[in-house]
Amino acid sequence: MEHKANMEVKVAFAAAIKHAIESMGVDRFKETSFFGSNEKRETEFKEAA
Amino acid sequence: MEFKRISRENGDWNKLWTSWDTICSEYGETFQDFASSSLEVLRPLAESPQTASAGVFALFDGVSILAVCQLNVAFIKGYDKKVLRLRHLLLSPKYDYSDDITVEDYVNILSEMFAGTISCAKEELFAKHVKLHLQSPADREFFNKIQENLEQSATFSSVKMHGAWLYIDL
Repeated sequence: MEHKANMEVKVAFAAAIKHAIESMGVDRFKETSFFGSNEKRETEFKEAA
Repeated sequence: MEFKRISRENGDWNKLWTSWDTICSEYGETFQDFASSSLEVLRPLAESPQTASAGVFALFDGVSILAVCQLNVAFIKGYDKKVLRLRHLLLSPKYDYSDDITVEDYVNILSEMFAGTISCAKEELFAKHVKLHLQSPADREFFNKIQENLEQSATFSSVKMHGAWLYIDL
């Protein structure tokens, strides 16, 4: 029963995440904080400015 | 895939440090430049004696560590039950630097991370509410879309955006 509930949660998140990435586009998605290299780019951008 | 706590005590924090350093090197990058501020938040939590209210959790595929995040649980003003908060979610450098990653790869990893967080609220850190932290304008755009989609499903009692957080009631 618990396994079924966990699977339901995973499937719901998968559908929502796919919707989110496809809606915003991969390039914009890669600007989220999940990508560690963005910190370096942000620092370089601030230093250049 | 397995979502579980990593720490210096269980040896998995050191595995993350060495394996992600190696991955950065493979792509000609330096690990010191990779997410240094987030990793410096996670480090003391992973290296300190572990507690029942907080920890660093990671997604494993065999011995590979695909993603990591901070989870902590607490009573928060305005709630009558405990709230589990997810912050500093980071994907492995491979998913940052490789050109061979598909949308499905991102979907699989993030759904495992978020579902693992919900499981933690039910089985380990025990909370009735879950909050996912937004750190940037792109995060806000991403979680807005997540909220749009999840609120149409009956999986959770409610899903709402408020301030810098996505709120999920279990």
